[in-house]
Amino acid sequence: MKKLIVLTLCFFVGIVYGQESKFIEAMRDALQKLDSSKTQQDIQNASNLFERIAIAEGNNWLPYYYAAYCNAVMTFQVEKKSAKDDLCDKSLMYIIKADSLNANNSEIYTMHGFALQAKMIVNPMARGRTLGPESGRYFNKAIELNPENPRPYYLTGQSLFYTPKQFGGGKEIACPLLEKAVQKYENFIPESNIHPNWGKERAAEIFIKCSEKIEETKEE
Amino acid sequence: MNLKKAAIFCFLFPFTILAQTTISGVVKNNNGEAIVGANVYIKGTYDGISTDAEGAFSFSTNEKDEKTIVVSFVGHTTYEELINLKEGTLQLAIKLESTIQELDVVTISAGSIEASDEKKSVILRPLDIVTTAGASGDIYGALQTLPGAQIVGNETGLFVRGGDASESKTIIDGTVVRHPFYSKEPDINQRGRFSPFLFKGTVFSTGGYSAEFGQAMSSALILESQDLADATSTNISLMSVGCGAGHEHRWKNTSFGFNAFYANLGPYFSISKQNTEWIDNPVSMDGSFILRQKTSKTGLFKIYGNFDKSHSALYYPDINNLSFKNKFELDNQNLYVNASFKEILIKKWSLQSGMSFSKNVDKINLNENDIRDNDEYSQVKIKLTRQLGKLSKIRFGGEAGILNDKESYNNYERILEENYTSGFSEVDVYLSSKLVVRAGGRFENSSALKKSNIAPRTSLALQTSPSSQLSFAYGKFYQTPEDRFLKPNSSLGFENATHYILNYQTIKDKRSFRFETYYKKYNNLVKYKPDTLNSGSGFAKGIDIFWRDKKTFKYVDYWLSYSYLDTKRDYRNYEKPAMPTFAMNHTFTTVFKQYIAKINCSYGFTYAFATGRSYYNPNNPDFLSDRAPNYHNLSINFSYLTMIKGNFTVFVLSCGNALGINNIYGYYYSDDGSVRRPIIATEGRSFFLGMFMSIGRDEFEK
Repeated sequence: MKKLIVLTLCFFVGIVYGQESKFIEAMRDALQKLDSSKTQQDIQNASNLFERIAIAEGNNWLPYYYAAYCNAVMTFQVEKKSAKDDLCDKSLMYIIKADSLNANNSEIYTMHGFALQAKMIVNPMARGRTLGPESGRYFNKAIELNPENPRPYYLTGQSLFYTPKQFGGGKEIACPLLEKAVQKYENFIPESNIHPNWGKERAAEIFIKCSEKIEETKEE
Repeated sequence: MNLKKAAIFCFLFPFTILAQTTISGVVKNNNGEAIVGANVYIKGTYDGISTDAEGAFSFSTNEKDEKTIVVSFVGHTTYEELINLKEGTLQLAIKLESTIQELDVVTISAGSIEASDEKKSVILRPLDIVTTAGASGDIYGALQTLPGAQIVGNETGLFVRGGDASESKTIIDGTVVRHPFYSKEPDINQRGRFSPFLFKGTVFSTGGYSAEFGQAMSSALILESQDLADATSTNISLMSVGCGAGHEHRWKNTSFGFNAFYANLGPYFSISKQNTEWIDNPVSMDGSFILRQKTSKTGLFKIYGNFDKSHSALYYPDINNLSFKNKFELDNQNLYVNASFKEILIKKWSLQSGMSFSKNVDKINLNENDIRDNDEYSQVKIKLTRQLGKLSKIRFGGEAGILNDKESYNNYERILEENYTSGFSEVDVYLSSKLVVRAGGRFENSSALKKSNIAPRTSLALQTSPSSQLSFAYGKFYQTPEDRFLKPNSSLGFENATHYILNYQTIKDKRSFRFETYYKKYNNLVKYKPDTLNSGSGFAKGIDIFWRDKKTFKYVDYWLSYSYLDTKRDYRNYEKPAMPTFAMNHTFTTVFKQYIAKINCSYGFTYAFATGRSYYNPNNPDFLSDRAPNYHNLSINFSYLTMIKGNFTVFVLSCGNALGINNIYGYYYSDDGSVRRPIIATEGRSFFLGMFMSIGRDEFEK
């Protein structure tokens, strides 16, 4: 009898542990696909995997967060403006869903700002005046919720680095933010190995440009 | 022992006993093309895969019985199907419907150039109008750099494709503006009253326009004003011609703003030589307010009001008496109020309504003769639109306008009253996202003419490739003759023009190309020599070519526009059909703008060339066959953006007719034909200097 109970318990623990590890395994697999992605197709595949995990789990914010990230990143890899807008809208849809599952989350606010930045870049002349400040508000809220989160500093700094001085940007205002980002990346420890932990290399790349004496080049 | 083995087996290999189903297939869109990277999966599980380069997929699942398979891809409607999972393989062929984005859909472009921020088929944006050299921030000045609009330097108004200024109408938020230009002095090209910043959308139609509009045989300039302001801000402008200030405030559902402007050309005239001999330098004062109120989630009420007062006086030579100078003094007061309301009613129905009132008083003193023109115009308009399916729609509506015009010459009065009513109906049928057909009709009634008319309008557009389209328009356009011909008991009827327009345009990346050819036939034009009758007629035909490139040269935006126009008409006091004085056979314009990042400035130039206009020479028996010299004009502008104490500031310096070319538009002859005087611009080289500052801009937080 005892043996039966122990075995049954082990069996159920096995199932539950199996479920949890199934989720983490799937997430790690998807994150691995994302990290090693080289083409837009690769990112699309990772995004689809996150989407499946998200809908299957239903109440976990992480897969929705990463699906939003993948779609936002893909907007910079497609040509047609309507395709870019579709991806931005999909990204925003996912991040809003993530927020409904985990309110007041600094990483989610950061990702929301990033998605708005991507949407603005599709048509900066028409959307710059509204989406620029709006994405800034999300980054500020992210910093408020977790001052040690390096990503809002990195994204704000990057955007300002490439904005001309007369529109409120430029090296003087961007570089201190990028410096803060780099420092915080050094000290940042993610909650788990499937929690957000991206942007360190890119932030360092741009920060190096801060100390370059050559004329700044403007990205289109 | 067996139990232990069984337990280990179950622990290590759960569910392996269950059967597997392999699901494979292909995912395509409605054109039969494979969709790469679509997400195919069993709802609620991790089982799934992305489609490959051929749109094919194959994956296995241990799920069984009835489960939902989901196929999703960005820009398409998600597909779901209930399937029965049994052991073995399951083949599926899946078709995904694309969610049509407005940006991809074909739009009717024949005869129309749209300048608004969001739409795909946009050739110009409102900011482009303001930064065009030579336009001096005037919408009509900027329109002259586009094909179709003729450059008529000594007249006020919009002259399009061989039509005179009365054949073009300006419409704001659906209602017609009776006095869109400042009152003109002799031989002076007056600017428009409205700042381009008031508008979020501009459609410049050079013909073939919708049944929603009428009373303009050549063109309609359709302007849509801005919605709720984004921020609270104060603005100050200091210019070589005057100064102004304004404030705009934004609350949650309301925004309110007011602006005041004072212009005095005296200081500017003292530095810049004028060809016109001014007695009193032009002075004007202008005040306006603007209110926007969101009435519901989808409803918006707007009201704009403008009042201005101006005075000027000048001498102009008398060609029949060379020692005499005519004295012309003008005082003008103008009030214009425009209110509009739009709302989505019950599902699929939307309403747009508008009302406008304008009162214009011109007081002219011409050699001590007192000439007055006092007109009041009220108008109301309603338009209902119903969605029929995803893209197709039907719209219909009507408008009523009352004009009361009192003219007097030395106290001898003449009153004109006109009640104008119209109704229209039009349907846009999208046979696919690549082909749209528009058909409609317009009914009009004029109480002054005691007549009505019905006009057909139709157009279609076909998307020939993802970045190009072909468009055709046909329509009949009626117009009530000018006020001065509408005497009581006259038997006049409507003048009319029939348009045939064919257009091809392609917009790819940041380059656009537009080719348009047209034929306009005029009938029943009013002639008054020998008698006042609708006995005149005419035609206009030509081609317009436009090329814009924002890609080839970094930070450079330039456009080239060429028009060929062949037109003759017999109207007013013409002796026979001839090319009118406001038409040019060839017009070529190029606009160039460049941004220099290093010094945070942008500069630009506009070069315009047109072949000579016709002019009346009493010594020449061949009526209107003389041609003035060709026209050249080079304007340059320069602007510098900066922040002064955190406030966004723009400095603008521009020079019109920088080469100081003395263009001759035509000649005035004495009655006996022995003496003539050239008609020239009011000034040779002109310059403008301005500073615009936006203070304390406070973005509204949603």
